[in-house]
Amino acid sequence: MADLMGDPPGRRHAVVARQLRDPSKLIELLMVLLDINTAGLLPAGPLGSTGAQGPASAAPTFPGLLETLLQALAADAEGLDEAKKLVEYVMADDEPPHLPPNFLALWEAAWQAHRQHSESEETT
Amino acid sequence: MTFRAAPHLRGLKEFQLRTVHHVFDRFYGDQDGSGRSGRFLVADETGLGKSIVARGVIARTVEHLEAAGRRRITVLYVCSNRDLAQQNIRRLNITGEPQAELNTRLSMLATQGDLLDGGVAVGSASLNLIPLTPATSLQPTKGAWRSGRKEERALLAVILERLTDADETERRAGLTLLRGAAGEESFSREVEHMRQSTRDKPLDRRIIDEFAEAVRASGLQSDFVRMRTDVLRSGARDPSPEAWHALWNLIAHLRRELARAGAKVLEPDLIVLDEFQRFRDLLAAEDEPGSGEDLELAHTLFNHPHAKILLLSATPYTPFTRSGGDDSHQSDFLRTIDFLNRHQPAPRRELTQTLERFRRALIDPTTDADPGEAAQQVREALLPIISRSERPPLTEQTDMVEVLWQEAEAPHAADFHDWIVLRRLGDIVGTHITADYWKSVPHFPTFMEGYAFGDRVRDRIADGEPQLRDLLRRSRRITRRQVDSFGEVDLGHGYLRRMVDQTVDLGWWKMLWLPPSMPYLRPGCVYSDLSEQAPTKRLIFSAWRSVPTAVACLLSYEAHRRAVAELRRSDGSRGEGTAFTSRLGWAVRPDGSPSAMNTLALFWPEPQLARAGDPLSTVREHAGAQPSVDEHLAYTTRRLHQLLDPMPDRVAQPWEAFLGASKTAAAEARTVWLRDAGRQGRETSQNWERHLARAAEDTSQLGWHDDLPVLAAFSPGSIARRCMSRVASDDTDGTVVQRAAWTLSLGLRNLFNRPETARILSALYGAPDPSRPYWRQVADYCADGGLESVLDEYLFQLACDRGPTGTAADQVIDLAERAVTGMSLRPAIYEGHDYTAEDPKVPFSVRYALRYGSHQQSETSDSAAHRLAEVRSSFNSPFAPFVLASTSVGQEGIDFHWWCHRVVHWNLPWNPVDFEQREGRVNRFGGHAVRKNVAHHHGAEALVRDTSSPTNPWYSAFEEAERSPTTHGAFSPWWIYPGPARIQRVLMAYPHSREVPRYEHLRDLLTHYRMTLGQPRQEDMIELLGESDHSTTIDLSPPGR
Repeated sequence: MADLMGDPPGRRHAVVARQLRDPSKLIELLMVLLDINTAGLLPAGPLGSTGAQGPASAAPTFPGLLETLLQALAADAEGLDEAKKLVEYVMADDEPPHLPPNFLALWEAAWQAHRQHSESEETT
Repeated sequence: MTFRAAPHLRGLKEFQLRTVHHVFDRFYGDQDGSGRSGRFLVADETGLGKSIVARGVIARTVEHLEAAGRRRITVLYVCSNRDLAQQNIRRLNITGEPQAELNTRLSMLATQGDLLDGGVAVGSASLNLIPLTPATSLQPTKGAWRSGRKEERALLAVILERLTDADETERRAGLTLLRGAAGEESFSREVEHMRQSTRDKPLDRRIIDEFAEAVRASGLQSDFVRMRTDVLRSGARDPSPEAWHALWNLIAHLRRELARAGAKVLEPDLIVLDEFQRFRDLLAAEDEPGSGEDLELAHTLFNHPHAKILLLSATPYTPFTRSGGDDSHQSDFLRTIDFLNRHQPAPRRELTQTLERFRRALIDPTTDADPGEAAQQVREALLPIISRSERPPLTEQTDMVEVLWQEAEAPHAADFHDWIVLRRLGDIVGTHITADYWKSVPHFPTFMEGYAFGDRVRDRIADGEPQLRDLLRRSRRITRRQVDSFGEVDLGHGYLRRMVDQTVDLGWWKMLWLPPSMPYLRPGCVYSDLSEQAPTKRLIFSAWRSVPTAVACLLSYEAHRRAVAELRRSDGSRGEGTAFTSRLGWAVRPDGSPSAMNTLALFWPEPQLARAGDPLSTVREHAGAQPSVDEHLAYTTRRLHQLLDPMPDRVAQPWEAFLGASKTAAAEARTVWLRDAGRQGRETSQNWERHLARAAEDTSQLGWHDDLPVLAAFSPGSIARRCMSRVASDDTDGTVVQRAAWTLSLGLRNLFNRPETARILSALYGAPDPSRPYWRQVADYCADGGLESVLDEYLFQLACDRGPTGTAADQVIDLAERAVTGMSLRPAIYEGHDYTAEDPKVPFSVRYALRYGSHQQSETSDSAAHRLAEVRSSFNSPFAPFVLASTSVGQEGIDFHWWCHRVVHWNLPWNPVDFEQREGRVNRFGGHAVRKNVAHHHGAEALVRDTSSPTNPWYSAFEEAERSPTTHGAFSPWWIYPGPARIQRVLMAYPHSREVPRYEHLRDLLTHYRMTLGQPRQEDMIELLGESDHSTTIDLSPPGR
């Protein structure tokens, strides 16, 4: 990641960014990042499927993303910071990916909670 | 006169009748009974009326035995709890006469000699229908209370002093031995009371003889005498500590002998074991390890030579076990089969082979056995001992069930933060908190009481650990101050927010009752939105113990808070205080004379006015579109003008006009009141009598007031009068109808006299003032919400449930009383906790949403059973509660379908069959969905049907439905009727959570599990079935179609 962030705009960068315009690839990567530091806590579950018959069956859903986020929050995982950078990075792209509905709300809320907790830990 | 079963079988549906005849044939079909075990399981799908079948079997058994010359017939009804017993015993009772006391203890049977010799006459025999609950009757030594109840020991004392010819000092010593934990004085009083009552009503000789013989033979009597001598010798007032253990053992043994003597003498002919999976351990074989003395009583009863055993259960064994769990389905199944075959090994062996052949036919690619044939063989093997009727299955493929995903909005930052805090708390007290806690329980820290985690947090805060308190302060806790002042509370939970969206936010806080399924008039402004939604009550299931409490507290609070907020917004009042209490009093002047008599005018059922205000007359006269409230008032005015012709002068007060119009009825009114005065007595009764006296002696002339039509059309009194007339048979005495109407009307008065109700009405209509006094608001609300059609619907249901037993007068009075019970639920206080506060209790007053089942109290306690029954009848009424939340306790055997066809699966169950179990609670006879659909198709016709006497239009609607052909055969219209309303399976999920794929897997299992009956490794088998579209099912429907 560090490399990725530090790279000057170049070929490799463009390839990665193009790859991450596919929402399922992006979410998959996010989940891996979040999961790394909580390895072993999570049962392996089905990753992003775009066809799950959910509440809004037309939109892609990523079952397990919420649970992964919860685990990362509970573990105060460093992956959260990495994930944050990744989300900012792809959203700043010229053509940001069409993220699934609710994803940003979910992510922002989780991130805020994480920050709020870190701050209150620091003050105590 | 001989007893005939036929009249009792008349109301049975075709499949129920086939079941009754099949069971009877298995019990008594041939003379020698060879090859018949005398045991049978009716495993009909839940909600199909197994108790109706049992009633039919009882009727045929009685007919058969009486014809064979039997004089005493005993039927035992065994079920797991008293609430269920109360619900069902009425249905089984073919005599219509009151039967034995509930919860008979076998050990106390000796005191009820009349029970055994009496019974209710059925032809030339007498029938005893005796309910037993295993926990109290059949397993007397289970649990810690080996010494039993005081009254049991008092009975032992009385019997033993007679058996041993005890003198006065020996008697006293005996009391010392037997008093157990009871105080000396209180026990001696109990024994004296017992002596007295056995003098008045001698103990049953046969039981005493059995008992005497048993205690002599076993040496218990000499043990008792020896201990008594020890006490006499030592002169102690308490047994020595060393003697305690031996003594308690002795008491336990004596109690058991007494119970066994009772069991022996009962000599049951038929034992009905209802929902017996709840006490499956009673089915063990006698020689089975672990089947100890606890089962002895059950065996004494079950093995009685005449006893036939009828088991009732939709889920006699775990219907499905998932891989990874224990494989209890097959072992459970075989255990049930063993019991049914009286533990004979041969039939079990044959059955296992047959099932194995079926399995292979389905999944073994190397066999060419025909699955259909194999399934037929399974049927032949099982039908002698089991039958099962099923509705067309409730699956997503058919249109019976509607799956509704309720996706919660994404959790808020604060929700996530609470999760982090929760985990920290868990880390500190050493409990691993999984995400499921957070997903399931709103405000978990407030409602964690009863979990080990909660206890630890509480204890450690009490020990002064500041870190925990600080952490809790960082979460969004609910404080007492907030709740007491009706402050806004962050619901803190996605599912709950969704639930509030779907109820309170849709205007449900304005609701005193659900809108009618078959409205007579167009709803008014409050109810028009609500009627649009066609709401149904919500039944929530969660496996998490705290969910029912949390949901009930927060939803009730939110509903209440909305009314208060609305009041504050509109008139700046605080929405609290005493301004809302007792607005419907019997007002008197200081000299005692009645002042305004609006309450009387509003609630007294006045037959003439009621007739003039009949909305069904209006509907018939007003051809075409549904009349509005104002149109109905216009018709009513016209009819009143005819009644009062020539038009009298105007009077100042509406109640003066009411009194004038009701002059002729006042005498009748007075009779009824005087008769009921004692029963209805309240502290205001003196004032009421003054009002009544004034009404009775009224000398005022006929008069007109423009509000008179409002009273005729919409006063609860007029409505009650019309509704009761419509369910009374033609020959019911007018004063009986009047009494029933008055009972019902008083129930409505209580409803409108509640501060909560007054607050809602003020929020809707503003504070009462002379232009719109409270009585007028009440009438307006009744008009707006279609109270009359709601009550007709409710009374129709109560009448269907009750059946036509008793006299016409009993029937109509009983219906009114039951309806009042349904609307009179007391509010309860549930508790949350704020452990950061000095006094951690946060009380919530709940009525809008309740939990079913007790949080902590033992379910068998009397008050808990009573409360359960109360909650059930209120949920099964159109009145509050509108939401009921339960853990698994509500899943078996209890009806919740009357006003509910929506089941919310707060958490996905682990076992797919739980969907059927849970939804089975609302998918039942004449349920809300069925009524809506029947009304949808036949309502318009039923409402205009002209009848010679007042008739509840629901009878006509269902008659029409019964005539109209559907594809559902015997199940139509009462169980399934096509139309817009369906059984709703609501699934909750957060965005991007695992719930969706989990549900999909559960649904696949649910679709196929029936094919795996009696098989090991069911989940694997379903996976092996794979995509292949097998539709082979095992048909266990009773023969004779």
